[in-house]
Amino acid sequence: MFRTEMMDINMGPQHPSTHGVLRLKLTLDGEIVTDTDVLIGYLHRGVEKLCESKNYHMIEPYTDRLDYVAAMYENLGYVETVEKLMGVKPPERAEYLRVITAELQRIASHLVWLGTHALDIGAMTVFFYCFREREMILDLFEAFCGARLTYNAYRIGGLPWDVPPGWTDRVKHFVQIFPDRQKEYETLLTKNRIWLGRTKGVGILKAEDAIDFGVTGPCLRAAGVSYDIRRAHPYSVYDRFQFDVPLGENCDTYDRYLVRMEEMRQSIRILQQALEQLPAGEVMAKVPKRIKPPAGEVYHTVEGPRGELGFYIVSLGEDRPYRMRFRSPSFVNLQALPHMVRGSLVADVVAVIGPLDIVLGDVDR
Amino acid sequence: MTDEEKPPSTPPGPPGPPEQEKAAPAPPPTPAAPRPAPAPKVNLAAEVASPVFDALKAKFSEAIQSVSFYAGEVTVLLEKDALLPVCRFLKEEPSLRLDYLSNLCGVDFPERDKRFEIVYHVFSIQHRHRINLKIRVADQEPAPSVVSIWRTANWHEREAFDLLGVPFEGHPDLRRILLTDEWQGHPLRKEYPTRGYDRDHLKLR
Repeated sequence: MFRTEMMDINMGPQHPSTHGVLRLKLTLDGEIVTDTDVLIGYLHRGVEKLCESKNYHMIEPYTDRLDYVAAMYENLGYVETVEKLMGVKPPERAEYLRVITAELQRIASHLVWLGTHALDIGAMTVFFYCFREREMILDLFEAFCGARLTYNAYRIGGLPWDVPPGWTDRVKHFVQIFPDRQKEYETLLTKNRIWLGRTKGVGILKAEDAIDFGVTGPCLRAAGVSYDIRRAHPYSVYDRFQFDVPLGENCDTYDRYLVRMEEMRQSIRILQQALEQLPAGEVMAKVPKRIKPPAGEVYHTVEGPRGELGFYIVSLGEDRPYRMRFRSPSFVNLQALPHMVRGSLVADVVAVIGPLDIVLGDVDR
Repeated sequence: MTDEEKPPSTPPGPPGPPEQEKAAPAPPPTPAAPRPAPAPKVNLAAEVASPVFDALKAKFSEAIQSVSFYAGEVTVLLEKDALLPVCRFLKEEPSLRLDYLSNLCGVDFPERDKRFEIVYHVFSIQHRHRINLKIRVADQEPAPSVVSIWRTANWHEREAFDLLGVPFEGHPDLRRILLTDEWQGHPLRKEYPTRGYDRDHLKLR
């Protein structure tokens, strides 16, 4: 007489909490998600193909448009990969300024994540607080390179210019005030009963599954795996700083929140040390105007705010790469989503997408 | 929004010498510059020691076609049929534990007999070492799927199938991922025009 049926429902691509053009095809048993098909590619621009016809300088602006919430890291990974390919080392001062801008970018990116994630779950105030501080960082970036989102801030072999006068003092000012501001967010969330109810025990991803799925970044560390590329395979000058790699225990959304909050504090620590040690000197190494790396191939990774950012370049000795591959953390982390939401409520899907912190420009490339 | 809006918190003291950054092209060009311009030429293709490669050589010497070194990375070209046993060994051997497949992608060399190179960048979370593996396949020749070893390969292989047209044997769900299902051709192949087919109206100005 009566029977129940599975129901297919589309979430996205125009859904505010899928953070862009992500489309999920959920198969529901009542309100329980039994299966998820992740449909991506709405923002595919074929950047890898485009790079094959551009010279090495022209590619850097393209990397901005991949992960546009943390474009500094795309720049950083790209220029470091080409430098590794060429065997060039940038001057000390450039390395330190790269670390400073990159860690500021990590905080800015985590602030976007925190604001939007809290907004998805229903806490609106946090969003305004987060964007207040993010604005300060964007002002710093604007003073440094003229752009607020797509920076194109580094060059192969160093930096295009030094920071403007007074810039480091402004960074110091930010480093001073930010810990207090962060406490404000935490008073709103960390012990908030609604927040705990929405995030505790949601979206479990165990350590062995996380590694198997290739999940990296805060999502992996929330599962208790101590893997941070700044530690495991130090690049730039990261081996000179003291910082902790925060780890979670319960592999859930709440732990991912805690890990990211702690990461911001550690970024402040790195910033303090980098500002202290910042040497004087040149910011650009001697590199030819026309970049022609020798024939060879490298795969280089950096620790972005979302996880491991990998760059694979095959060079045949020409002034353009033969093959350019971007290994984006968003793309790989998203793959674990069906596993994480299986058996949970539809409303929790939003609470799981949030801490995965995907950027669709990075997923689709 | 100007740069002067947020002055550093300094007391409004007497207008002494302005706090200059000790950075930019400072007037006294200190002779002890941290890095004199021409860096010594490094041999990028120098051989490096790799415990992973040593273990691989000891166990699968007949499966290794060639090995290359570049910028401290070791890249091993394998026989196609040996890929799955090698990967399983690398993942399960306790002293190696290459449990994390970071990246998988294809490279197109149309002038070769076996035109596609499939590259695997494998890391160990625990031991923090790595190795790059490669196999070569011809057009339409299926490559063995490593999804049974690392689940993360699923989407990477779908992407390689989508953009290069490499079929993967044993893949659980091989369909296009980034492009639409009715897309013609595979854009990352070298003969595919950057602007795509039937795009004559998109001329550069």
